[in-house]
Amino acid sequence: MNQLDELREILLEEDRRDLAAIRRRVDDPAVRAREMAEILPRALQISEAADDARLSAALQNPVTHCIKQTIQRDTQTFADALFPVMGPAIRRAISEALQGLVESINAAVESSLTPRGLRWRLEAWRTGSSYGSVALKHTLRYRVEQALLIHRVSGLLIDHVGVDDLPSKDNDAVAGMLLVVQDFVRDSFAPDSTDTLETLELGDHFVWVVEGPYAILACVIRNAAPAELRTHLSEVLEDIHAEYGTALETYHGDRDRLPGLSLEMERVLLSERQNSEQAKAKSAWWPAVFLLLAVLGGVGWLGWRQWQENASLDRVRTGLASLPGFIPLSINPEGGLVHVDGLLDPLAPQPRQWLQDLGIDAGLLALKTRPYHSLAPGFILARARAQLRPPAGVQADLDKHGNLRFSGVAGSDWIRQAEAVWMLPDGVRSVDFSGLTPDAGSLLAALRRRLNPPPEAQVSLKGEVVQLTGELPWDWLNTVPGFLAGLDWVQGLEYGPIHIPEWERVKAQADVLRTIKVHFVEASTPRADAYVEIERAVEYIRELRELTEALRVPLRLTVVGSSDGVGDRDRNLELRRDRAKLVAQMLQRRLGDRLAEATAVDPAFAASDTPDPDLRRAWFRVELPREPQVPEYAP
Amino acid sequence: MSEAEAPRRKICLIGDFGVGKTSLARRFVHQTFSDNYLTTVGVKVDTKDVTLPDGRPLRLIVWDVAGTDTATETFKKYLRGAAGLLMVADGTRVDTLERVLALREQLRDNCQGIPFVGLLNKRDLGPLWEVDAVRLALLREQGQSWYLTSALSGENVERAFLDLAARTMPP
Repeated sequence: MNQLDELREILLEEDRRDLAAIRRRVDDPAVRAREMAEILPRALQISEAADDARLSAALQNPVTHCIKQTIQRDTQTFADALFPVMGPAIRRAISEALQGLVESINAAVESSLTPRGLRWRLEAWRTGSSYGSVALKHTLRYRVEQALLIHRVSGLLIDHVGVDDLPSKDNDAVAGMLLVVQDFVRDSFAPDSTDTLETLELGDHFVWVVEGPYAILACVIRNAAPAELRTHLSEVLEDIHAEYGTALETYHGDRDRLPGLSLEMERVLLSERQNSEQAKAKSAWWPAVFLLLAVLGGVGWLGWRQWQENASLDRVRTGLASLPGFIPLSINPEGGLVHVDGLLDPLAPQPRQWLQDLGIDAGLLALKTRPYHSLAPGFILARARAQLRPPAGVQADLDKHGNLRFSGVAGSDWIRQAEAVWMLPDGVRSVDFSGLTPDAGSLLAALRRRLNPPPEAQVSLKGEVVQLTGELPWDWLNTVPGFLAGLDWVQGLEYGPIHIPEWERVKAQADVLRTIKVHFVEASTPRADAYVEIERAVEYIRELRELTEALRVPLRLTVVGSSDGVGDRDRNLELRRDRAKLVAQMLQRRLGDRLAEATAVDPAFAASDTPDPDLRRAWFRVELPREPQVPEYAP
Repeated sequence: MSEAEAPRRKICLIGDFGVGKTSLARRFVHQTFSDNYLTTVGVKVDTKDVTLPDGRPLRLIVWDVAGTDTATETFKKYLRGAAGLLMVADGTRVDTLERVLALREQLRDNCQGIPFVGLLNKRDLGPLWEVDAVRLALLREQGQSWYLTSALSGENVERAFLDLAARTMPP
């Protein structure tokens, strides 16, 4: 190393080392990248602060390319990131579109059936436009009177346009307060919401607020506007943002940075008002004619309806006047109904049915009735019939003095009950049952209940005469006249074929007694069995005596003596007499009283040589000269 | 340039309760709305047209914010976009001065670089005055602009508004 090299080393060694270090930093990509990462954020901040557009321009394409690639590679990440923004925006767009659709439908329905609506349809057909657009053009009867563009952050008024005839107002203060009120309403009622107050309404004035990223557009509108207007306002605001976006964002009150803004703003003022005036000018006579026709139609309709109501009222009044048993107190039309208040007999026809039967509409009848008793003869008779329920065949007549008379044929039971329970109904002064005739069936039943005949007896009526047939026990038969005496309508008592069991018994017993023979051995000596026969005879005689006494019929009993004709006639007559007497005495002793019956001899005599023991006897002749006398009855 | 086309600047009146903000506004600005808005929504917006010393017109949009000593979110929202602050304190109550200074400190992040002018109000109540000259001198030494004002007599009020207006505009 020479001196020059040494000197160079002394002078330049430090620079050489620095140069080597710089070379290493420049040549090493890792070091360069690390250093670039340290200074890049700061460099970007400096560029942004200096409002240097070159950096934005340089980054535009790479960033766009980067976003495209990222979306293609991972769509979901972007969708997730955009969701909080897109959701509310989509909902708001749908809501506004639906609101516009509803208002369009309302307007179309409202106008489609009117002459005006038909005229618009014709115009739409003629011009090739949709009916909705034609209707919208003609229905813009509102006026956007003012529009304020307000800085969203500071509340400063950016611009204001309005129609000329409005009184001036401190719009700067209004703009600030409107923003305050917006915040106030949101903070008060929906503090967590990002939505804003979109509409204010006061009488026929509306304030519609449309919001953009940097500014809000508030329009003061007279009368209700269609929802399409909001779309139009949004479009104007979007256009303003597109043109003045940067200036709006950094707005601090310098209007000279926004040239031509008022022209944009005036788009929200003018067009609707002109169309509205044109429409009015062209169709000025239509509303008047339509109004006149509507008034005439209304008056005519009201008159016709009034006439109809009056006619209907008259019909109801006439119909109810003819309703028996009804006294109308008031008939008044009110509230589309005919209010009827009146008195109604419970037996009267129902008023609604009555009117319907007369062909009168009773649907609008509001009926209020109170019960009463009509004194018309028909109702008096109907009440009497309803109370007594007389059988068919009974006639009820009412004379003009209120005397009610029943006549005809009726069951005796009904007659008796009617007489017993009768109470005079309203309008009746007296009741007369004398014209009633009991019917046969009921009489016979009453008769049988009274006589209570035994089963074998038949009781019948022939007119008013009682007829008895069949087996009539003597004791019962003798009670009949007494019972009949209580029935004043019975005129007599007759007998058909009858038999009295006690009388039959008498005849039968008499027949048996006639067959009893008391035999004798000879002369006046009774045969051994004679006493037995006498005992039998005694029994029959006792019974006959009792029966005939009860029947009040005479009984003639004669003991007759017989002989066999052996010997002479006198002897035979003597024997016969003795035998009769002997038997009579024996009977007398047994019966304990004097025999009332006579004795006799058998008059028939034929001499005989051959003894005949059977003819040696005594026997009994029983005579019943007349039948029992049945009781008679004459009232 | 007409007043309608004049630049606008939003300024806010802030300060404690009862320091006289509303009296200042009532006397020196063009009022459109009733003072009732202060008690209902907490703020009232008025305007004041001024002419700068160099002849330029300027319209001040004066936001009279209801008295507070705390910078709530709503309070901060009202101050957004403000070009200047009028800090008002009551000279007869020194605590109101300290509180409005503290309030400004709370607003440091929100109002960075925004000019402000201080008004020590109620100058007309001389015997009750509490803020001493030393305190005022210290504030002015820090570069702050403070005026002794009286809403009652109008003393220094116009000057204070003009001073702030000038500070909000580029030279």
